[in-house]
Amino acid sequence: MKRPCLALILACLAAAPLAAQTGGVIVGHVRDHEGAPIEGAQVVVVGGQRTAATDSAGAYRIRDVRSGWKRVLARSIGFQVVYRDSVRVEAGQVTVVDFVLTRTPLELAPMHISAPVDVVLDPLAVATSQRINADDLRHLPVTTLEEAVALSAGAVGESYRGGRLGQTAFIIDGLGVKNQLDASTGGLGIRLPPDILTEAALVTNGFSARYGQALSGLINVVTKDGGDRWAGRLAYENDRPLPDAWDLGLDRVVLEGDGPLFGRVRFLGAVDASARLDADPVNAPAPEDPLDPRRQRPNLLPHNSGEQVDAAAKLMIPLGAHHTVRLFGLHSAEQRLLFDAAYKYDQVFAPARRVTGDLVSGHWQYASGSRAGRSLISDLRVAYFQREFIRGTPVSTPGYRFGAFTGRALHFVGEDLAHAQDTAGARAAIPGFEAPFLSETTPYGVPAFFLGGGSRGEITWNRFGELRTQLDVNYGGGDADLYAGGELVRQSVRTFQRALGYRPAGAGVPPATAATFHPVTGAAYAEAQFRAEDIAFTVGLRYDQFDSRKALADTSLIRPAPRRKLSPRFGVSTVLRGATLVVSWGRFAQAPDYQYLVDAAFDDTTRTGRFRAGNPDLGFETSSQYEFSLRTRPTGITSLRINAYVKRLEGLVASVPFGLDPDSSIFGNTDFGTVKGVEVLWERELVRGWGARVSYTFQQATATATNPFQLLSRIRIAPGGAGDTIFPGRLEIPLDYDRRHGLTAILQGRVSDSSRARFPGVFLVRGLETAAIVRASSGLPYSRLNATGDTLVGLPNSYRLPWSATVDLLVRHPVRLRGLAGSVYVDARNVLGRRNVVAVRRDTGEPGLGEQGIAAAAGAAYAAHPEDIPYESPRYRPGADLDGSGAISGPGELMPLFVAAARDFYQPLFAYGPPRVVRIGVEVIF
Amino acid sequence: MLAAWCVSCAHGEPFRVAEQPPRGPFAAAFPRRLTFNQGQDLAPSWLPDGSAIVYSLERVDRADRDRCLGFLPPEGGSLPRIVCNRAFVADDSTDAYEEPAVGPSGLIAYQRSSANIGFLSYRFRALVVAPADSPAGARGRALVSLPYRLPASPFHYAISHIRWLSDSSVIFLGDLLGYIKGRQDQPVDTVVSGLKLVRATLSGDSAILEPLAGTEYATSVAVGPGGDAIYYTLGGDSRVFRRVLSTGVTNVVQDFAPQGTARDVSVAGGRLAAVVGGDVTFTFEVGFGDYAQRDNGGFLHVVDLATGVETVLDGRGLAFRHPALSPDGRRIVAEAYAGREADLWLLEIP
Repeated sequence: MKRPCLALILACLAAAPLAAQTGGVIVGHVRDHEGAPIEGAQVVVVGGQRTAATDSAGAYRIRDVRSGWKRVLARSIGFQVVYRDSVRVEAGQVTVVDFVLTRTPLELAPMHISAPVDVVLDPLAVATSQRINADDLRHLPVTTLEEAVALSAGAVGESYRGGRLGQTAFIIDGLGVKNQLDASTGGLGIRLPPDILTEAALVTNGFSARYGQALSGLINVVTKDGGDRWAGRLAYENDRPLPDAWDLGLDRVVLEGDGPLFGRVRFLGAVDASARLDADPVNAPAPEDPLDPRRQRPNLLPHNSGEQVDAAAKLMIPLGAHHTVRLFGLHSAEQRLLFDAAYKYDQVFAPARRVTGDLVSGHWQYASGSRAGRSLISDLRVAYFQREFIRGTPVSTPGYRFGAFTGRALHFVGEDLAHAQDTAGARAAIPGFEAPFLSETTPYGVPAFFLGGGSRGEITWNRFGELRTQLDVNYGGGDADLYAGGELVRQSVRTFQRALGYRPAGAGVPPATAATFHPVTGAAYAEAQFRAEDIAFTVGLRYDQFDSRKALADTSLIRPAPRRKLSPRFGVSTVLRGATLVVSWGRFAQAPDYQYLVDAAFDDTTRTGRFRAGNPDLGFETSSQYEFSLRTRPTGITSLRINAYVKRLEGLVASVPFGLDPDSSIFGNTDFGTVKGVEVLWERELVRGWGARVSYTFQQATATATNPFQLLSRIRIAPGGAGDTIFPGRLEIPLDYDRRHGLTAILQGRVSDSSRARFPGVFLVRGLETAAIVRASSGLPYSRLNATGDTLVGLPNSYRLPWSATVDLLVRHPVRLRGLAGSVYVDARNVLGRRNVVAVRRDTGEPGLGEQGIAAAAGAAYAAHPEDIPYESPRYRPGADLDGSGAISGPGELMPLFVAAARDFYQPLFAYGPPRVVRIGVEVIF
Repeated sequence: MLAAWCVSCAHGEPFRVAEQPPRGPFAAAFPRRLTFNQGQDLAPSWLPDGSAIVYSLERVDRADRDRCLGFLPPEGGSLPRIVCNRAFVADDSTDAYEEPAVGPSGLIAYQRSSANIGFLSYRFRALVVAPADSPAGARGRALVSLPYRLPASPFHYAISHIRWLSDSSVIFLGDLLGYIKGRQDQPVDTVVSGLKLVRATLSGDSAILEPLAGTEYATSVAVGPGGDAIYYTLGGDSRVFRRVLSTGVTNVVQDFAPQGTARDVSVAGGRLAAVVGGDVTFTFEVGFGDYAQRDNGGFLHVVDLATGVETVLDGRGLAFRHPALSPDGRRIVAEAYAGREADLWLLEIP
């Protein structure tokens, strides 16, 4: 009875349970048949270098075992060797494996034992992590790691627990990787081919002090090492044979292979290449106007194709009994054309973007033998990560070679200037850009809405690179584990941006902006985990420092001082009558996106000519989080977890009014907010043909601004008429990702491959696997504006989108052909074809502009161009010349064209989520 | 096998933007209206091979009312090509490409000018020669800047009736330009009237100008086959003169005395066309400070140069200006006035 009280007392303190590590821990006892402990017994993880010897109590502990299914043996002189298969080790988790050895007066054959290990109730497993392993990735209707992680409770796309985008750190095999330049608006730039993963986990509670650079959570990924024999997988999937409405031009090829190169050296390589003719399909209704070409093929947008290639390779080189070197390389490239409604009829001028990422890492690991329960493991990692982003007008659009694969890199107008960061050269109009004018090629002819003749004249480029050196030391001794280490990261930021490049700078055209600086960040941490009976607690402290090393202004030599932050973390867990309670508290800090340190704004689709000054003196964004987690196992095959958390966000980057000009602002650490929520996860293991996992999240996330670009100011006249005083907003409003209710159900079913059922066509279902993901969630918040778009209606984010729901389905049937195993599968997303509204117009609160708005837009366009359209003009459309006069003239003939053009232009394409997306796959496993 | 079957299938394609097919002539009959522009369509001329008609069109859909070059199919129809000044700095100015003429070597000569929107005085005006496939491109050369002054001659503020004599020389009419304002409530009237014919020999980035003696108050000029003979008219005169440039011999080839003042002469395909009579005056204007020929259009007369047979074309009551005979001499494209705006009409010669 004292344990709960003790847990509650400890809950008032700070903690950070171990999580987000590459490996887990195997602990247990080795006893004989009479229950007596066996001292000096050796426990070995087969295939690795992990061994441990039992102490006088028969206890052993093997640390930092790479996650995955393991085979563990225990042996002692005079006893029969016992193997335990199917021991599942998960990163950050403690797996209990007890052995009972039988005395062997004579040498006997080894005995095999398989037994499940319960980690649900294990008090030593203290992290709140939601995992998906390689098997899940293959058997669920998910394609990418991001999609898999998004199945976690509390995830809204790539936002976790209500946080902003980019508040997550990515850990690959224990190595931190983050796009520190523009994580909040851009992606990481690298993608791991799912086939190389052992498991991925989203860790959202007080994660280990070993990890920083994140406020909302960690995505912890463990990759496979090459196996002892060559194995691999080749898969091809597409939607070519499907009917028109379902054929979105998809092709994907996956090839993975791993095995021994020579000696104990293991190799792993994988390539994942995919392309789609429409990389961002929408489920918008087909237009009614027969002149609108989209009416014929509403599901597939032109100039919206994309292709991506991810290639990874890994070498594992054991050096002796205690040393291992791992070399890892990953290259990702993504390029895509971007559909722009304004260039619907002159697509050659529409924008495109290319993002490439590279990661090269080396990992040296030393693992001492375990003597009487004591061990030392040290990891030294050195990695270089680079991400490059460019968006602009493609010089030319390469032709497709296979599906949407072009096989060639896009090049952009002004790319050379951008790479050279030649702001002086970019003051003149950039060669290759032409000024756009109102398109003449639309079906309506009228000069309105659509552009042609030239692009928007934008070129945006940035490159972020970092060289990270990371040292981690783990000392395990008896009932306590000690972790310590640190990292030093030298970063490089280079940016360039030019808008309206078809005009020289000046006279309302902003000059090109560029920045180059080399921040240095560093961190050190120490953490200890203690165990006493069924109570375990963890105490950690992390120190973070970052120095932007960027001058306060272009002409200044003064640099802001380095920023420093201490982040304590604390966690405790204990068993309470068949349930396990985990309480944790931690403070977290992350350096701000470096894009907020410079004047240029990247990928700011809301660019409206407003100027936001970069602030090199920004400090850390911080958060503190309390969490209570209760885990129980109602039956032998089901588990229930309930997490409740409160997170306080502070110092988030926000736009602050800059002087009295309402159109100017500077970034500052002024935003704060609160996230509160409850997660309920129920899981039934895949037993007797079916399994399920259901998660529900209720959450409330509020802050004083929804994103760093949102400018919420209050202008107050100071008493006494001393002048205007500008106060930033201090009212907490729902964050952009404040999804109140989220329900995700994952259902899996499998028909045994050895089913003895006898009925006609039984072979069709034998070995059949099905998985369904059902999602339902309440709508995200949004703000309403008045018709002129300059005044908020109500408070920011005080309106909500409607609920959305999807059902995804995967059906897989095994196929065996000439000794090769494989399968065919159908992966269908949004099988019900539900039209989910994912965005609405802020002026109407609806996806579309509405008839009244369309009429107003058409009227305004007509007022701007009421002139006749003569017969010889490229704008002349014979059907509109009602009186056959040779000119389309007057409102009677012109207005229908303007209305049709407005209806076309304002059709809400991207207000709707993806349509039904189906792919057929074939895979061969060798 | 399944993979092979899948690969053998082709993806559907996204929707395609239907190209607007080129339209043929608005009507088949002659005279045929070629343009319906609300603005002015002026100074048509034929490409040497007769494959297109190039003219200057006023863009009423632009705030600056630029005048661009349009290239019409010879039978009429939709404009496949319009050349305007699309430079961003031109948005605040009226840029006019006028009096185009394409020469035998594929060069186009035209008068290019620029003025602030609403302003009378221009910032730039010149005779520009450029490749016809890129009239406004970087390879264009401003060979004669306006105004210019020839010895013992008043300033020429504008030029018109640009005609190619050879690959390297053009002849044009140097004009006097005036802005005459009557009563306070009346708009300013722009008056352009010919002063003298000028031959320009093109050389590199400049031109050597040579005034043609005896062509004072000329009102039009045309070039005969071979480029050595020119045909011209004079203000208030009913005669059409012919001069051999190499010898200087001048004679009258046609006198339209009974019908009135002859102007806007065009020669091609063994025929001569001119505008005769109609609403035209040639008087000394005090406000202008010189003689000026004001022309609101007249009748189209065609003369067979071999037989001397003269034909008056049925213009359906329209008043014509600036006719241009097709290279084969069988058709005429001309400005036609039903009010103040000019449109192009195509007429067939019987």
